[in-house]
Amino acid sequence: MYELSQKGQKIVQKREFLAFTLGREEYCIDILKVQEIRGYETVTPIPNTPSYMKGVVNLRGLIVPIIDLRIKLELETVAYDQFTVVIILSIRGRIVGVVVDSVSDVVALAAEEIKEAPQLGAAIKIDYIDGLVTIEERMLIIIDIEKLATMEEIVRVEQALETA
Amino acid sequence: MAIDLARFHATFLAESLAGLDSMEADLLELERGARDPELLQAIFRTVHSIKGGSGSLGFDAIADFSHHLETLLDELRSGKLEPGREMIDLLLRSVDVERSLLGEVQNGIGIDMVPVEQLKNEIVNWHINAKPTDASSQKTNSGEPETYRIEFKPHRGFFLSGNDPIRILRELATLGDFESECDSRLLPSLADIDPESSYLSWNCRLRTIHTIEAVREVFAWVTEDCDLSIQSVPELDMPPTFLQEAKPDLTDIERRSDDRGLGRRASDRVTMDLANNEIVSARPQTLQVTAEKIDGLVNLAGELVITQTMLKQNIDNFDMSRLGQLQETVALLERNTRELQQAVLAIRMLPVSFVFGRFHRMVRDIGMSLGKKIALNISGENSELDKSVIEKLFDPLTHLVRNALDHGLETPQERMNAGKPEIGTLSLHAQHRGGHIEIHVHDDGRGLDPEKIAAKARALGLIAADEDLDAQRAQQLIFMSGFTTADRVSDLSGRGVGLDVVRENITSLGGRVEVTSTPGQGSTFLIRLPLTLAIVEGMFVQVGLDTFVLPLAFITECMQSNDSAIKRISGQGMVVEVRGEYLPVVELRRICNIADGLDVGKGVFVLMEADSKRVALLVDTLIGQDQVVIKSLETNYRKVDHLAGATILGDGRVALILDANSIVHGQMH
Repeated sequence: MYELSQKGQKIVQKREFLAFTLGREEYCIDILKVQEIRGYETVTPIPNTPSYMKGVVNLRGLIVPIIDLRIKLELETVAYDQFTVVIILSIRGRIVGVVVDSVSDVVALAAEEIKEAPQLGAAIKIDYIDGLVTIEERMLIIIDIEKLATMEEIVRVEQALETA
Repeated sequence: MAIDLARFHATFLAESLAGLDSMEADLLELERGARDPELLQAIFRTVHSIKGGSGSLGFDAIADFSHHLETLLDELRSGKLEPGREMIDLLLRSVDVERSLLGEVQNGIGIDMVPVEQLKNEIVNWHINAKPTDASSQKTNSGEPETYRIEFKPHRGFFLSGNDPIRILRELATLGDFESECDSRLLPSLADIDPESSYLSWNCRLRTIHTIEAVREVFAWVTEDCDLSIQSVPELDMPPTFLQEAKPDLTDIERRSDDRGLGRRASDRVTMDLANNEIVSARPQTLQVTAEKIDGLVNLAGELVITQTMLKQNIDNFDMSRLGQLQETVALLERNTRELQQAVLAIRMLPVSFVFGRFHRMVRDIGMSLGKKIALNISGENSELDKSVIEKLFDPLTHLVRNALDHGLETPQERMNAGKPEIGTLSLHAQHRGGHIEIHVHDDGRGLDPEKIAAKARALGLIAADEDLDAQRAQQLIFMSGFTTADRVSDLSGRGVGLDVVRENITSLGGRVEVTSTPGQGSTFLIRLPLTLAIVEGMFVQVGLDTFVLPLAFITECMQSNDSAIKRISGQGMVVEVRGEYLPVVELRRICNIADGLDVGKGVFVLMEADSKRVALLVDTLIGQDQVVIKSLETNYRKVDHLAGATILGDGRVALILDANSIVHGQMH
C-alpha cells in the first residue's frame, strides 16, 4: 500500500469511494464499481420477485434490474422524490441499479483509516459491511456491494440450476 | 522473429472442414454410381490442399495421413483403381479420420491414434495391391530414370501464402535422387532483412522414374508465387551414394536459413504450441455469409445516410409549408430502417441444407449396419432459418432420423412380404409457412402400432387396463420420457430416451413437434419452428397498469369474457366453456400478483395452446400486435417464472414477454 515518492516521502495509496445516504445513515461503495448515476424513473415491475426488487428499466437498450437498497436494508421510510437517485453498478459483468436516498460525495480513504466492523451478535447479519470510517463526525459504513446487491440472488439461481 | 502462424489456423481448419464436407457428399455421389471425373478431381484437390496446409502449418500427423490418402486418390483418378463399394467405404472412413485429426488441432485434445494408424495401413495396402498395374501407367516412364534440372525461385512474398520451400524440396527428395543448391546471393545484410520475405532460390537436380508432370505437381500450389523452370537434361554421372549426401544437404539448408533469421520451422513449433492454447481458450464463432447479403447491407446503410441527410435539410429550413415533405422523409426513414433490420437479421439466416446435408452419410451408414435399403429424399433444403435455431435442430432431427431408420423402416424382406418396394424411403422436407418453418421427417415404413402403444401404456400404468387409446393421446404418449415400444434395445434407439428429448429441444426453441402415422404406410414427424429466436410476433395485453407481451404463435383465439360461460369447480378454480369444451381459466393478475386488474366476467380471454394443452388466459384488455425484439432478463438478472424475457417499447419503457409454455403448464409447477 505504500510507495516512495521522488523526495523519499511515504505516499499513501488511497481508494476512492462514493458516499450516499440511506435514511439517516451514510454508506459508501467502491467507486470503481460505479458506472453512472441517474435519477429514479418508472420501472417495469417483475412479478413474483422480492419487494426490494423494484423491476427493470431500459438503459440504452439493456434491460437492467433495479434494487431498492432502502427496502433491502429494511429502513423505515421509503419515499421516491426528486432527490432519489439510482446508482448504476457494474458487478462481475452484470449491470444492476440500486436506489438510494441521495448521493453526497466522493471520499478518498487510506487502508488504515478503515476500521473493522464491530460484531453485533449472531442475530444481525452484517457480512456485507466491509468496515467503518469516521470523517469529521460523519460515520460512513463501507459496504461490499457485491455481497449486498446481487450475490444472494445470483448464487441462489446458480445453485438451483446445478441441482436441477 | 517468427511469422505468427496462428492466424492461419482458423482459416485452415474452416476450409479443411468445409472441404471434407463436400468431399463426403462427392463420395456418396460416386457411390450412387456417378462417374463424373470432375468428382474425383474435386476430392483429390480437397485432400491435396489439406496436405499442403497442414504441412506448412506443421500439423505433421494430418500431412502424413493426407499424403497416403492422396496417393491412393491419385491411383483412382488415373483409373488404375475402381471406386468400388469397399473403396468408397475406406475413403469415407478416411474423411472421419481427417475430421478427428482436425478436431484434435481445433480442440487441443489428444485423440486415439490407433485407428488412424490402422486406416493408414489399409490405405497403403490398397496402394501396394494396385502396384502391379503401375508399369503401364503414365505417371512413371517405362522404368527408365530421367534427370531434371529444376530452378525454383520463390517470390518475395512467398511466405505470406503460407507455403514453405523446404517442404517442397523435401517432397522432391521423395521422388528420387535429389540434389539441391541454395542461392543466397540476394540475401541482404541482417540489419536490412525483412524476416517475412523470401530471398533464397534453389537450383536442383532430380533423377527420378516419375514423369515431368509428377514433378510439376509438387509445385502445384506455388506456381503463382514463384519462378519455376523444369527441364529434362541428359544423363549425368552421379555418384551412387548421392542420396545419402543429399539429405545432409537439406538439413544444411534448413540450418543456414535458421541462422539468418529466416527459418520458420524451429520457431514454428513454439508459435504452434501457443496457438493451440489460444484455440482452446477462445474459439471465435464464424459465420459464412454470401457476398450478396453483405452488398445489400452496404446499399441499405448508404440509403439510410441519404435519408438522414434529407431529414436534416428538412429540419434546418423548416416552416409549416414543408410539413408534407418532412412527413414523407420520415416515412422513408421508417422504410429504410425496416429494410435494414430485415437485412441484418438475414445475415444470421442459413439454409436448412446445413443440417440436412449431414444426413446423407448417416442414413447410408446406419442403413448398411441394419441391412436395410434406404433412399434419402431431401427437398426444400434452401429454406432459410436462423443460425442459432439451425444449430439446435441437429440433435432432435438426428433422433427422428435414427428412429425412422431403426423402428420405422422394415428390412427388404419384410417390405417385399408387405408388397412394398424393396427400398425404403426417408424424406426430409422443409418449407416456410407464415413466420414459421415446417420440417417433415417422413418414412414409408411400418408406422406406429396403436395396439403396441396401448399395451405399453397399460404396462406402464399410464392408462387403465380397459381404457381405449385414441390416436391423439397415443401421439402424446410416444413423446413421454421412458416410453419405447422397441422390443429390443439397439445402439441406435429403443432406450426410451429420444422422443421426449426431441420434444423438449423443439419446445425450448419455441416450436412444437407432432406425429401422424398410418400403420403399414409410415409415419411423419412435423416440426414447426419460429424462423428466428431474436424477434417474436407478439400480442400486447394489459392487466391493471402493466403491459405484457404474449407470443402470437401460441394464441389460438381471443374472446370477450362473460359470466354465463364460466363455471366454478369447487375450490379447484374455474373453467370456461368454449364451443362445448371446458378450458381451465388462468388469471394473469393472479400468477403475476398484480393487485388491480379486472375480475373474471369483465376482461378478455386469450385462448392459448401449447403441446396440445389449452388454457384460457384472463387479461384486462388487448392492446394490439407487433413484432418485438426479445431481450434476456438473465443477462443482468435471472430467470423469472412465467417470463420469457423483456422487450423495449416504442416509448422506451420495458414490457415483459410471457412464457406461454410455462403459463399453459402452470398448474403443474
